[in-house]
Amino acid sequence: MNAVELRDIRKTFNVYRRTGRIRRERVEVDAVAGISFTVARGEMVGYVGPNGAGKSTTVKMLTGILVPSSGFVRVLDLEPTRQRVELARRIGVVFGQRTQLWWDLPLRDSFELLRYIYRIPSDVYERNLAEFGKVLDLETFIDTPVRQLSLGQRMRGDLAAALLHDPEILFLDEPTIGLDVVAKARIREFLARLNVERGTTVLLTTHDMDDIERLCKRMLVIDHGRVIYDGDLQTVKARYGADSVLVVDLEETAPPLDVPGATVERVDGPRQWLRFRREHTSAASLLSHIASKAAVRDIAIQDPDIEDVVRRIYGSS
Amino acid sequence: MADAAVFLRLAGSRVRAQFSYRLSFLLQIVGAFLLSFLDFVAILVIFLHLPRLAHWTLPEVAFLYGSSYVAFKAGDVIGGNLDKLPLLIRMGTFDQVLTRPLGTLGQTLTVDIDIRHVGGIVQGLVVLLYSISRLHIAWDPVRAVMFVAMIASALVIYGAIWVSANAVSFWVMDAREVANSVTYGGNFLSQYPMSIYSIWMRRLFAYVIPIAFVSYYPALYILGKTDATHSPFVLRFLSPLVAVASVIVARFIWRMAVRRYRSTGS
Ligand SMILES: Nc1ncnc2c1ncn2[C@@H]1O[C@H](COP(=O)(O)OP(=O)(O)O)[C@@H](O)[C@H]1O
Ligand SMILES: [Mg+2]
Repeated sequence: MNAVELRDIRKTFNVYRRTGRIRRERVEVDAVAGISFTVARGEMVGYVGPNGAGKSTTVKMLTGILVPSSGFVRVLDLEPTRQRVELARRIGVVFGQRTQLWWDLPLRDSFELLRYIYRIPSDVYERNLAEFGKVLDLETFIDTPVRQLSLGQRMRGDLAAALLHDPEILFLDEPTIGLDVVAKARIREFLARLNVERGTTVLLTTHDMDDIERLCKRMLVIDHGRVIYDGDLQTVKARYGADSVLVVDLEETAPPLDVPGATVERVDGPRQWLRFRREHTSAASLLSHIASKAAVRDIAIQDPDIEDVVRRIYGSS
Repeated sequence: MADAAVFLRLAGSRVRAQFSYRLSFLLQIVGAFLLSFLDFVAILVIFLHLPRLAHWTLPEVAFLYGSSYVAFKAGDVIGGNLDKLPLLIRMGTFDQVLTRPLGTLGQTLTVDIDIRHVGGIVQGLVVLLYSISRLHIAWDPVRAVMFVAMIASALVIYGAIWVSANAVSFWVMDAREVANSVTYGGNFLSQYPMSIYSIWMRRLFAYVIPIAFVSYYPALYILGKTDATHSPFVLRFLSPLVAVASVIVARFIWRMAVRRYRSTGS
């Protein structure tokens, strides 16, 4: 049985645009323009794409929030909007941008309410609370009202809240958005463990390529409401060549550096941009080459972002 | 029905949150109690000038007012939550309601519980007790049962009107003014004998927004009054049926409305 199955699913929004002082024109926006894919049980899939690609809209159709305009959706063999309540018991949902918790209640009270809402047996509840409390390190802020939590703490609280009832699938919409590096790493580690230890199917949307790199064997790239790639990250990189860029600030202005494995793309005074592939050469070896030729003051590395990847996928087809 | 226990718990947590927030909580209830008397003052003013209103005396109208007001304010404790529906829809927070394994209506009605309305309920009760003390109602088992059924039906009918009127928010942004004019307006209009209204308004109140069944028709029987509008005698007993029908219609409208929900882009 598939965890998720979508066939030619569409969602069209009517949007009203101002065309004059009072005149408004109705425009149809295809947020999702015919998407098909399946996710097997136990898979961990990254759903990536630039802003406005239709990621959240897809997740909302999978979780019974939005009624699709047309097409076929099944999640755990249930039709999300018609069998919403039944499905809700078996899935977990986290939206990075907004909390599922009660603003004015301490985390602990929110959990307690969810326990009744989901009718979680007390042994399951105790076990999960203890485990998530430890792994996500909730103890220090579990008695603080949610509105006083930092974004990272709130996110950890939201994750625990979505998992208390042992869902078979976890849907995450931009779970790492706005978090600092440490918080991101912690969430990723937690999700990886969840997938391995409990076999929970995970579908997460993101526009952070690092999330995919660390977590997902399979990724679906969508743009303008369509799937433009379905496969693993390595293949994308190998086939479409996503370059990283090393930015070096030299002590003084120099001619373009000649470093094996990298090409200088731009020079601006003492600053130079070197394009390279992480698969072929490491930033460290580049740097040692550069240092042997010129004095380096500062460096920065820009990894390819999702916009790059999307552009390359388009460029090659 | 196990859901009912969950909703009670949700409501309970809302009430507790209010207690911890609002220090002058009791004061607010007292304030609501006093303020709500202004609604009754409108009726008193009329009777300063007239001994009777369409053959109804002050205590009789007070009976209509009191029974309708108690039910309305009791409904307001949870129904008032629907005021927040346009915000839930516009901000996309209704998403959260849809991701939980509970009915959407029950969750919307327990988003918050405004205990201050207790002040209004008490005021309605005071007026109702005053009217009963001044009227010489020929109490018998039938009348007693009808009295209880009247209040209970009124509560349900108001709830259904509340839900139906506010569901419009799923179609039209900021339909709150329209919804409020139906709910609060309906409560206001139900406090007077139907015989003062034109035939079209009476039909509207009997068959579309059934506020005539909130107190007028059952009160005719309980108070033993003749109906100047010559409505069929059986209408006096139909409030419970109307209540059930209202709920069915309201649920249907709500279900249609929720399917219209479009969340927000993010
Ligand atoms: N509720 C809505 N009403 C109108 N347009 C919407 C709504 N939700 C999404 N959209 C539009 O649909 C497109 C896809 O949005 P979304 O699924 O939120 O993208 P993503 O999550 O990939 O950033 C965008 O153009 C967005 O403006
Ligand atoms: Mg999004």
